[in-house]
Amino acid sequence: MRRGALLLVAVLLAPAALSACGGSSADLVVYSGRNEALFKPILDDFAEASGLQVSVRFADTTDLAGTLLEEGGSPRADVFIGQDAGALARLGEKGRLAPYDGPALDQVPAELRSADGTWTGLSARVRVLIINTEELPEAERPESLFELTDPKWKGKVAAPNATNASWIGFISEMRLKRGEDETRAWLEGMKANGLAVLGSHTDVRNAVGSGEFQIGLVNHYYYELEQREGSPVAQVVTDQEPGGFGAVVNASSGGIVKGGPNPENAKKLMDFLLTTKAQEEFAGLNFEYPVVPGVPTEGLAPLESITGTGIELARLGPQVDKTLDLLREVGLES
Amino acid sequence: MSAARHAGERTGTGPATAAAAVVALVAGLPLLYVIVRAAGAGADTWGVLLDRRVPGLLATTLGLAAVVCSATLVLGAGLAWLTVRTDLPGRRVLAVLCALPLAIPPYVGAVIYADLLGPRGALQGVLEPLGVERLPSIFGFDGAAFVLILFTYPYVFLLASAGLAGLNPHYDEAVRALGGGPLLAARTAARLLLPALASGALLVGLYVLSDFGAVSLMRLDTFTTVIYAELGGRFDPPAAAALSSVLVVLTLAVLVGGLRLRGGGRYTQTGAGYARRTVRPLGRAKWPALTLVVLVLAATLGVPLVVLVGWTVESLGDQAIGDFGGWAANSLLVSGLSASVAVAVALPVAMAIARGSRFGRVLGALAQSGYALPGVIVALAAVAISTRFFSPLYGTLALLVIAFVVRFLPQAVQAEESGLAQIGGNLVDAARSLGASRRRAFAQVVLPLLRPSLVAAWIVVFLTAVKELPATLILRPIGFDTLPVRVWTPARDGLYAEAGPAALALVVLSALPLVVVLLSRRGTLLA
Amino acid sequence: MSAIELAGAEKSFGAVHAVRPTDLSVERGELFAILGPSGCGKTTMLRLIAGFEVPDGGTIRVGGADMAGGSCWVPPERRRIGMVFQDYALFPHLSVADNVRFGLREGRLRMPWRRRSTELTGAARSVLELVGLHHKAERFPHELSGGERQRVALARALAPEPEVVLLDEPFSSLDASLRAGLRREVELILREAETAAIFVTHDQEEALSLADRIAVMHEGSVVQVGTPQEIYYRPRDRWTAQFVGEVNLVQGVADPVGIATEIGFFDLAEPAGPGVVRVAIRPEQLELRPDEAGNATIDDREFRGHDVLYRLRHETGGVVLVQRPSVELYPVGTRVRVRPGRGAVAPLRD
Repeated sequence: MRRGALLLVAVLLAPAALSACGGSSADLVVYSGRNEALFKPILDDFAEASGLQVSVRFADTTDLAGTLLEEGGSPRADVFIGQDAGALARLGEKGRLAPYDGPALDQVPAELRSADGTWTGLSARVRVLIINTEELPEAERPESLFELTDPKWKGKVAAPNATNASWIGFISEMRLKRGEDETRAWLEGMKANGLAVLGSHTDVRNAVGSGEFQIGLVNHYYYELEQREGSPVAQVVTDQEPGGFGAVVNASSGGIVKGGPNPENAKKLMDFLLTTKAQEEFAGLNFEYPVVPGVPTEGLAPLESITGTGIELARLGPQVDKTLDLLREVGLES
Repeated sequence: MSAARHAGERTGTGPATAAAAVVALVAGLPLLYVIVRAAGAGADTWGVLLDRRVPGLLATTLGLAAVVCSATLVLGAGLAWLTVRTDLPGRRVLAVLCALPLAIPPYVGAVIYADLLGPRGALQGVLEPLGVERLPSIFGFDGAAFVLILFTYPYVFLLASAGLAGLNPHYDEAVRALGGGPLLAARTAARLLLPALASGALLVGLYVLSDFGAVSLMRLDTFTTVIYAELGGRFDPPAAAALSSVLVVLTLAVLVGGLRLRGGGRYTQTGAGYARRTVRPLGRAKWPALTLVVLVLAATLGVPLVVLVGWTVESLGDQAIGDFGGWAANSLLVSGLSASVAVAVALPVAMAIARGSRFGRVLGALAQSGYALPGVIVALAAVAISTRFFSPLYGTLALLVIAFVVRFLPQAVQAEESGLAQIGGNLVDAARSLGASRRRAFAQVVLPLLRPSLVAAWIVVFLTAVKELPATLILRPIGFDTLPVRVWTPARDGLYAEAGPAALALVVLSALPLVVVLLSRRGTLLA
Repeated sequence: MSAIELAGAEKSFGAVHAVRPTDLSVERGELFAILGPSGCGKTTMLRLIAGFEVPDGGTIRVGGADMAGGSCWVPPERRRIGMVFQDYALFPHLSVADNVRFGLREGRLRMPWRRRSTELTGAARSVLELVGLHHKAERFPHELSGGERQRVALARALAPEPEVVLLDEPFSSLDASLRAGLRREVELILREAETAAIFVTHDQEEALSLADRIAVMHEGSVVQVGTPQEIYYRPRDRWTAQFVGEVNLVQGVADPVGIATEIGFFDLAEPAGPGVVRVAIRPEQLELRPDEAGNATIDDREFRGHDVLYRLRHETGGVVLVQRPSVELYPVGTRVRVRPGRGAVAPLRD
């Protein structure tokens, strides 16, 4: 009986003991909303260069932002990397980020970072349409997002999961520029047109590449990745006519978490991400647009040649909740 | 009134009841949380949800449950009848094989069939040269139903087999002697089997309501996927709680309805038991029947295993074995711990229920509310409650274990309670008449006899915990990935083959204890 | 000092008065039966003595020590009682020897996961030899026959040398053909152990053949306590008379010498009357002889092997049961004269 009781006590105490092991022994903890496959190589480089032990949590940007908010005054992470700027802006607005000032920060264009230094863009991307060239000859390709609600595109368009931060940033910009009602109408139209909501951008690009869908709504570098895999794809930058909506330009962004366990190491990572080397990797590995000028981009159309929407990324922060509300209203929240 | 019907009525004592109350309280927290939070969600949120989301989700979720339940009833009961009551060749081996798909979680099945039957899949590749341009989409309601049916029918199969095996074969003969044809005999058997079939359908229905992995991979929106999405961005969102409360009500309705259909009480075996079993000759139907069974097994066992092994071989070069070992170890650790804790903690609850008092029944119901709470909801409550009141606990393995225990406690309680009920009531009295205190009687008489139930409970909880997905996704500590997480994450991106090794490991891990239990003399683990 | 003493012990379950206030005592070494139909409260009585039920009133003493009553309560494990249950309640996971050892000091120390087989010694050995099963000491209960299990249950109860052994319908789960033989065996075992025993049964043949004294229970009350002969030949009321065996309930006129009935004149076992009195006449207390001018006709007869039971229609219209040795076999319809036989008859109190 005594032995049984002892066993019972051991079994019950084990979780408590394990909770002690829950604490991280890493030198740096990163919450990354960026895709593991694309971002991990850069983090590995940092770890090697700095000799620090980096522990990363890869998950959805919006999920992670929520987690960070929930962790309140005792956050577990040192650095937050988001897929878009809106998430960072929102965290900054809620006071969760500590100001960052590094050597390269001034070089980042003002519209790609925060005014108060709490976050900065790390690599820019443009929302484009990825097109399957075999299914859709050039003449028939749409030139505006707003054409996609036409019945002839029914069932042919794919988008990533609506909690995807880039998607949320995209919808936020639409709301800011075109207004709530028009955005709602577009979303409802897309839904009625059978918009396929897939898992992630990778899923979308694969689906379009294989011909499952004709059109996908992605960030530009997914087109580049798909094309280099040999799929018959092309990209369309939409709404470029004068007075048109423009293409949504966003930036994956990062910031130092206020009250994180290792603030000095956090700064080191941020510095690293803005170095030419890291920026080159963003460009070279992932075909994204570097935010630091003077870094060569391989074969990409120059960012300046693309007409953007003109919305500053910092404005996206307060929009996140309202965009999520709208998405829920329309029934596209998942 | 006087003599005890079973040992359970004799073992509940003060300390045990107090312990049961503590357990019930902790286990009831998620339910309480959902109710409180949903009530406080505000008219606006409720308005939008009820107007726009809930009707559609209700239709989808209920529809899915109805379709899957009906189909698994037919499939499970049919296979059970074929392998227990006919002269199907090789039926003993087939009976074990038919139960094995239980080791394959439906979301693994979803990964496999999404790939095979998807637009970029093998079947498309095979048919393309034949001129088939595009297969009808595997995704959506049909795909979800298909996958769920294939991989949950074993619940019905096992219960129906147990029911048929215990069914007095003389009923069959009696019906026929009275002039009833085979149809009447089948209907009579079906009515006598009703409790077993109802239990099976109930298990399947509850599973469908709570499933997250399979439906999300099949791109179908149900309550669980929407709740999971709502959690994104704002933990403790009123909307997620509101939707959760609807799901909880739905689940409770199904649970209560199912139990009522089953007849409430436990299905006990009457009559002689080991009479010679009558075997129906199939005659000319033998080979078609065998083909049917083999086809089913091919779809639920053969194809998955071939595919998984293929993917594993393919990925072996790419994925670091070290990582993989870590994931497997994590799965074993969290599932093993959860099973041990659940079994220990369930005992006072089982005793409180077996005692038969009303208080005991209330405690039991509260402790088993995890039955009605899908993993997503338990995780939601765990996050909200821990970040507010027990912040050191948040993000630790301990919290994940606690969530698992709350979720799977009902299975342990049921196994132990039925074990208690089978121990003769007089045994404890006899021990006391021989001078043993209540405690000694429990330790030296009840516990040893309860051991098979404790082992069964442990295995059941382990098997379910090892496959768990949504709560793990939400609650796991940083860097703590389990095998289900490593199946779902690449699959969500469409990288199906990458999910192969983790999926295969998961299946093997689930299959081993299952095979052991199936082959042991005492039969089903769902007794 | 009695082995068991009940004074005013009673027990109710809600509105049901299972055991009404009862006084009872069982002497050391005595074989005592509590006889009654199902639901009369006899099992509850047994459980009160064992300590599995708490009495609502009265006192219970075992071996002269207070067990229940007033503010005193001793739980079953500290009463010196042994119990044999109707289904024997042998511990299925323990061998015969370990079952028997359970109540002994050596059984106390045994941990369920240790399977040491120790040699059979001391009280365990002697009690197993007493029931004749020491050669099956290492068997398990499921390997034994019904009768063997009963004997193990008895041995197990006797091993700790209790004040009294309580047996709950000990023979009801055995084959009828084995019952008589096993009854004998159990009686011998109990006598040799010199332990008082209280057994509860609804079978009057069992009670009559085994017990030194019987308490007859009806609806919670003990209606009569006495030796088997007293219970059988001198039942106190109609119900007891009918319960314990076949009987003729006859009215007659009593005087100090005896009683005159329509069957004839009988001696009275106890004084009664004067006036109209009802008596219980056992069928074997009557004689009959074929007689054309007799006072009754054989309506029906039941041949029972060693005796025959006749159902006669008396000339007054009533039914008379007569039991005779089966050699006195007469066909149905025979006119007979029925007369008093040997033995006095008992007046009924109601």
